[in-house]
Amino acid sequence: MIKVKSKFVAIFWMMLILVACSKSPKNNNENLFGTYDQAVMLENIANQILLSDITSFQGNTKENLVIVENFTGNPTFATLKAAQDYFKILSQNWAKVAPFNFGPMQTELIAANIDTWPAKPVKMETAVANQIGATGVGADTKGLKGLEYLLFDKNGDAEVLVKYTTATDAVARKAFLNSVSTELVAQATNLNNAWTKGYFTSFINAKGNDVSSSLSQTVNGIALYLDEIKNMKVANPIGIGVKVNDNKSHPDIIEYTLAEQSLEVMRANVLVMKSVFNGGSGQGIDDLLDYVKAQKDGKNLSVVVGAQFDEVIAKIDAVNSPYASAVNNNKQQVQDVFNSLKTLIAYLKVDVANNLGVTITFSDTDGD
Amino acid sequence: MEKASVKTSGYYFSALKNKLSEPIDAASLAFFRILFGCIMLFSQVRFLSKGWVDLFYIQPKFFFKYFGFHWVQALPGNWMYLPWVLMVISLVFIIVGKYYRFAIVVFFFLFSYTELLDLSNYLNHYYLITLLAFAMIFLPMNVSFSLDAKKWQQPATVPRWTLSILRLQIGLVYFFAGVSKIKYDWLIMAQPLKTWLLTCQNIPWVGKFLSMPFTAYVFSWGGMFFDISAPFLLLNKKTRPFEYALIVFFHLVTFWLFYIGVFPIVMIGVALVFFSSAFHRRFLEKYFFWLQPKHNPEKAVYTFTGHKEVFSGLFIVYFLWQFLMPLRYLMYKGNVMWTEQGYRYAWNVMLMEKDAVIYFYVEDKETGERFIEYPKKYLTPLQERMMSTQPDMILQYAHFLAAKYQDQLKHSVAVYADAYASLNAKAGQTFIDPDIDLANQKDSFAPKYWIMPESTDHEFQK
Repeated sequence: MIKVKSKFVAIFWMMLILVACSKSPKNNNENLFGTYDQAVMLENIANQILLSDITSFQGNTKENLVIVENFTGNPTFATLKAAQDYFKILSQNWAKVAPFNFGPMQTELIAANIDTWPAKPVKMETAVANQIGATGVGADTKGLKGLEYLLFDKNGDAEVLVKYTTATDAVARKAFLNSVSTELVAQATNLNNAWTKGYFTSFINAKGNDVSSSLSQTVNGIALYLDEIKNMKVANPIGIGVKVNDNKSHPDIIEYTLAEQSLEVMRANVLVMKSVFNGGSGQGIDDLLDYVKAQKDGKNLSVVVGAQFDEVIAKIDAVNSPYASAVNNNKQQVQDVFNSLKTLIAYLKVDVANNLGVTITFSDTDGD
Repeated sequence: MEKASVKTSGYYFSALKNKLSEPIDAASLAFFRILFGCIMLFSQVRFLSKGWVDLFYIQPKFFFKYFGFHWVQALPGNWMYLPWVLMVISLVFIIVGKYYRFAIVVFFFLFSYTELLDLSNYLNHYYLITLLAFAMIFLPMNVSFSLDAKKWQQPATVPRWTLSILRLQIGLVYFFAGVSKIKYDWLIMAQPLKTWLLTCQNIPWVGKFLSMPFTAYVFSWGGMFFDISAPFLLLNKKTRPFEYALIVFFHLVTFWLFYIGVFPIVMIGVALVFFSSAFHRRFLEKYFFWLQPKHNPEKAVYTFTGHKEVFSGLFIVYFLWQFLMPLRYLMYKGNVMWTEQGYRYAWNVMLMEKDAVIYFYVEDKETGERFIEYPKKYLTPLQERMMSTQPDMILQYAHFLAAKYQDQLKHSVAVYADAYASLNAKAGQTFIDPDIDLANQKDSFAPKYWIMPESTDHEFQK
C-alpha cells in the first residue's frame, strides 16, 4: 500500500517540478511576493481618504448648521446667500464621501438619510405644515436634497426669502430647515463615530478578496457608484437611462437642479474614486493590480484604468455649464461623459474584478 | 486467434455479468438513502432559511428557461414555498424509508421542477442531485433499515449492480471533473486558482504559502490528478481510506478557501458509497438500529423483480449519455469556457473566473431609433451576473426584449448586445458580435457564430 502511495506521490511531484521548471524563465514573479501588504493599502485608503473626508464632512455639517441658523434667525439676502454658498461647499464635501457606501454608512442607512434623491417637495411641504421635524420624516423628505429645496427656488432668492419672512408658515419652515440641518450633523457625527470607534480597524483588518473584504467592498462601492453616476446623473437626463430611455432630454431630473452643482459634484465624485484607486500619495488598488501583473493592451491595467478615470474627468470638464442647458442643447457632450463612464465601469467590473478575484455582486450563492 | 479473442471477451462479459448480479448486503443502499436524505434535508432547510426561495423564485420578473423546458412556470407569489415544504416532508419519508418509492418520486419531480424554473440557478451539484434522485427511483433503496422493510427477511440482499450504479454515477463526476481540468488555463496558467489564492496571503501562518504562484500550480495539477484518480482509488480496498481522507481534506480546504456552499458537504457525503457493505451495516446498526425490522425467518426473502433487460438497456443508455455529455464540447470550436457551448452538465467545477458587463440596444426597424436597455431593469443581480457571461442566456434575454418592444412599438425590432468580458485574468474583450441582430438568432445546439472569438493571446500575464 505504501508502495502504491509513494509511487503516486513521486509521479505527482515530478509533474509539478516539470511544470515549475518549464515556466520559471517566463514567469518573473520571484521578487514580487512578500513585497505587497494589503494592510498598508487599506490603512492608506482609510486614513488618507475615506476617514479624512468623513471627518471633514462632519465638521462642515456643523458649520452649515451655524450658517443656516444664522439665516433662519435673520433671513436676509446676505444670510441666504451665505447659506446657499455653504450648501455648495457641503455638497462638494459629501461628493467625496458618497461613493463609498459600505460599512456603517450602508448598514445604518446614513447614505440614504443624507442623500436620497430626488427629494419630495410635497412631502416637505406637508412636514412644514404639520410642524414635523427631520427626525420624524422619511429619507426623501430631508438630507442634502431636502436642504437644497429649502434654500433655493427656481424663481430666485426673493421667492425663498418670502417663504422665510412673510409667508404664514415661515416660522414652521424655519424650524424645519433648522431640523434638517441638525439631522445632517447627527448623521455625519454618527458616521464619523462609527469609523473612529471600530470600523476603521475592521476595515483595515478585513483583508483578502471575499465579498466581505474591504478590497471587495471598495471595488464594488466604486463600480456601483460609477454606475449610479452613469445611470442617474448622466443617462437619465439625456433619455438613455435604466428607467428613462426615450432618447429625449430631461433637464428637470438632473442632480442639484436648483443649486446647479451637478457637474462640480460629479467631478468631485470621480476624483475621489480615482484617488482611492491610485491611493493618492500612498498605496492604492493600482499597486495591487501591478502586484498581480494585470495587463491590458500591452500596458499595466492600472495605467489603463487610471487613464480612463482621467478621460472621464476630461469629458465632464468639456461639458458646458450649466448642466441643464448642456442636457438640452449639447447632448453629445453629455453622451461623451456617458461613453467614457461606460468604458471605465467595464474596466472595473470586468478587468479589475477578474484580476483581483473580486465578485461584483450583492447576492449569496450556493456554489459552482 | 480471432476466435480466442471473442472467447476472451465473452468470458469477461459473463464474469462481469455474474459479478454485477451477485447478492450484496442491502445495507449499502439503505446507507446511501439515509445519507442522501439527510444531506438534502440540510440543504433544503438551509435554502429556505437563507431566504433564497424569495430571492431566486419570487422576486424575479423574468426567468431564464432551460432548452426544451420553456413550459415550466413558477407558482404565483408565496405558493413557491410549497415545493420546498413538500420536499422537506418527502425527505423525512425518504430517510425513514416509509412509502419510499412515492417519496423519492415526489422529491425527484419537485427538485427537478425548482431547478428547471431558472437557468440562472444552475449548479453542478444540483444536477448531480437530480441524476441521483432519478436513479434512486428505480433502485431498491428501502429493503433494509426502513419502515417499508418490515415485510422482508433481514439481512436483505440486493444485486450488486444496484450499488454499482450509484458508485458509477459519483465516480463519473470525479473523473470528468478531472478531465475537464485538462485545459490550458487550468494547467499552464494555473488560473483561476492563481487569482483566487493570491489574496489568501493574509491568512495567518499559511497565507504566504497559499499566495505563491507555485501553490496555484500544485493545487491545479494536484486537483486534476486527484479528481481523475478518485473513483479508482476509492474502488480499491487498500487505497480507499487514504483516498477518502484526501477527499475530506480536499473538500474542506475548498470549503474554507472559496465560497462554494454545500458542494463540499455533498461530495464528502456521497463518496462514502464506495465503502464496504460491512462498513455501511456497522454504521447503520450503531446509529439507525431503530429502523431495522426485527429478524424473523418467516418473512419473505427480498428479490429484485424488475425486467432485467429493460433495466440494463435503460441504464446503458443513461450512462452512455453521461459519458457523452461532458465531452460534447469537443464538437464546438473555441474555448468552452468562453463560448460555454457544451459547458453545463459536464462537471466543469471551479474552472473559471469570468466577468462581464452587458447592455442591449433595441432598434426600431422602421424608424431606426435605438433604445438602450440595462439588464438590471428586469433581472435580479444574480440573474444579471449569470446572463452576462452565458451566451444562450444573453440570447434568451434579447428575445424577451424583442417581444416586449415589438408589443410596445408595434414595429419589428432588432436587438444588439454590447458585451465585454474577461476570462481567467486575460484582458477584457468584446464578447458578443455587436453587429448581429440577436432577435433574428434561434437558440439551438448549432455553433453560435455571433460569439466573438476569444483572443488567442495566451501570453503570461502573471
